[in-house]
Amino acid sequence: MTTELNTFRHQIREFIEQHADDEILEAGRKTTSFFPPFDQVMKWHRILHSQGWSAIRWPEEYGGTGWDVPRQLIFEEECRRAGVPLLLPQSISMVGPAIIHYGTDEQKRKHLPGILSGENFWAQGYSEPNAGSDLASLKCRAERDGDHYVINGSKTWTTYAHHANRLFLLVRTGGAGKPQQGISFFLIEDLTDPGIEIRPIIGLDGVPEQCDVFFTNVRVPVDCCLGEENDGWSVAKYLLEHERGGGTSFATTFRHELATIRRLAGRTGDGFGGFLADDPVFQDRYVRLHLEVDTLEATEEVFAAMEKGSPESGPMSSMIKITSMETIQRITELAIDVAGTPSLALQLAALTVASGVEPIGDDDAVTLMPKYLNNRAASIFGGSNEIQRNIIAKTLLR
Amino acid sequence: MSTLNQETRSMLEDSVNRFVQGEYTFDDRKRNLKEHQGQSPSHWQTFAEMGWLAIPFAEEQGGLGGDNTDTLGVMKGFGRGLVTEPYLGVLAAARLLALTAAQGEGAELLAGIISGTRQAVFACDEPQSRGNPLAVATRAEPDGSGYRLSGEKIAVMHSLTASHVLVSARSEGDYTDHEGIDLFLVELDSPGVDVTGYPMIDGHQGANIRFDGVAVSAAQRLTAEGEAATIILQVHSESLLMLAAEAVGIMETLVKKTVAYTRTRKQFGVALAEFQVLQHRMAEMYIETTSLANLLTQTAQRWAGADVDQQAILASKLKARLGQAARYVGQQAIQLHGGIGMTDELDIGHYFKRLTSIELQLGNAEWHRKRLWREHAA
Repeated sequence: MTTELNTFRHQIREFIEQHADDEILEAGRKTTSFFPPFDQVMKWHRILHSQGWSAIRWPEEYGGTGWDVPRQLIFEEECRRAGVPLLLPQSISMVGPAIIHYGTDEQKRKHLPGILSGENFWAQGYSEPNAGSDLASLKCRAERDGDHYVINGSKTWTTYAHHANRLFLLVRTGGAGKPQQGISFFLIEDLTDPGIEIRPIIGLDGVPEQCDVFFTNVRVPVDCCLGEENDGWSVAKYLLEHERGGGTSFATTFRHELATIRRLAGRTGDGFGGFLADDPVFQDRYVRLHLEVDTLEATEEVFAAMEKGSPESGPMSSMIKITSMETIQRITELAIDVAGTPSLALQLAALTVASGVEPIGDDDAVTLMPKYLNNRAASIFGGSNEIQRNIIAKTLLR
Repeated sequence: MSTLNQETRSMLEDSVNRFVQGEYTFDDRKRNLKEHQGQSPSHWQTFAEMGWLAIPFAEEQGGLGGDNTDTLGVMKGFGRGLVTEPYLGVLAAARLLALTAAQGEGAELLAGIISGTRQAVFACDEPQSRGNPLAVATRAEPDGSGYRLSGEKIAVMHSLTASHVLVSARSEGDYTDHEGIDLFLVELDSPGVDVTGYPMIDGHQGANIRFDGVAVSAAQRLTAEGEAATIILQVHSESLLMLAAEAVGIMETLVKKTVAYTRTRKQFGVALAEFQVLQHRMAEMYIETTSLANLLTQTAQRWAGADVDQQAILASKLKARLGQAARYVGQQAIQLHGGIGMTDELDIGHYFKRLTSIELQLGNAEWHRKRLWREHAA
């Protein structure tokens, strides 16, 4: 078994070494949020697809790899080790599994190949200006008109909508009843419709990653609905579980961040003539975080083996969301504390792939401040951590 | 010691409040960043006219005759307005000139700074110093009757129109020794001085300055040979005091704005302010902010009666406590605003970024706690 896994690991390593070019690796290094630079990550997606590895967790019949959990983890470890960008989650980890679970044969045939190949990139249209944590209060509306729906309203925090050519969308199609009822899940294929306006939002790091999306009388065919009309909440909940936990292994990624910090601490002075890596205060913070990551990995393994949609998987995915996101927030905090004042320089050009601009200061340190700033959103997006704690408490008190 | 009476102090505070409310709204600030890289000559002129540049200097130097505690009202106001002008950095340079009783060029420069016509900056931090003003690796090698300076200073609180830099360098002694540090006044366009300027995440300007065998005369040395540490420590402490006042101004603003936002933002049919978990979070933000404000008030009261070493301890306590409070308040302000707090468009994120800078500048909380322990153990 070990030999087999070693051979497997070797194959993965060799493939990455041969196929990840300088620009893809540069994009990996210059990733400062959960969303790597778009052009390069999609290029890498297409390369992985050529090998059949773009959707490692999908069932084999839909183009997945059929790898068991240890192999999935080895693949991710090797990706982290090489420093390639992690594939964008929206298509592969979010809408893809939802289409596999809820889609008609026609929808699967139509959408899955483009997701696998990376020809299409899907953005997620969930939140609205007045429907964030309280997602069920969303107001973006679709009225039935013959064989079409007509959409009016707006979405916000739609990551990379300005790069997307597809959009999955929660809209209100029904009227009375509980707010969760009457929501439908749409698959939008044409973002060039003049009724759709996409406006990028500049984030704390000075870079547009999120977008506002506005719909004015946008007509879409009725068969764009995934699952039953007015039952989109079930699809959304299923998909949120994929978003909150278990898409990829956070633990593997976070270890990589810790390793960078440790290297930096090894060559950063403590201001008294020694190095930070020898400072017990640093050591304690570092080891604590390492333990948090190890524990997270244990939970991720349990979750990976769990049937999604079961009574236990909901609270467990909330737990993964809370612990993983708060751990990465603390890791990025340690990172800026180690990097110190050099991390205060705003280096937008040096962080742009292929800009040729050398960073000011330590190479490893240039991404640390944008990561700290961007990760403030980690306890907000995908259902705020307050909401996740409510979900767990509700289960406990039931 | 301060000779400013309460009336003058109130006048200064009123003037900074009028300035921030009238000329330095969030939109004004945005325009200032775009057009002047956050350092508008006309704002600096206002600073001079209002007397803010003259506060902690003796009357015979053209100052108002106050001390650094008299600048705290201005700094709180600058915190509320997120003022990006290089007030703190330039004042630090001027204080060094005043404390060394600089003659000739230095005296002219000081008079120019106080009247608002000239600017200088102070280069102290180094790549490995972590804000310790005595961790000086930059060398001052004797060369004929003068010296040659070699080394790198980083994260200088920079002014785009500064003509001079005050730079610490070591002519003898070990890395963090008190003895052997000198302070030089150097023109920024001297041969061998290489300035890499950059905008910082908070809209302020920063610079790394490399000194590559820069020739300086003995007259450019502002203190007796090897004896600059005391004055540098004093100005470091004064800057920390001022930075804490700015942080308090920011944190009080964030508490106010967060409370206001949670009253209006509705989710699940009720205002966010109705949720107990968020109420407690805001109560904690208030406790952290008010604790720091109280510590600042007490520190300011004790300042004039303290010697340089005692001021260093007072400043370290303040900065260590600040680091903890600012991080909590800044992070929670974003959390309670949700996604909108993450945008460039809203002011909340900009307050957060300035607080983050303040946390790291002049030694972070961990460094100051370590310094306090060393003092304690000694």
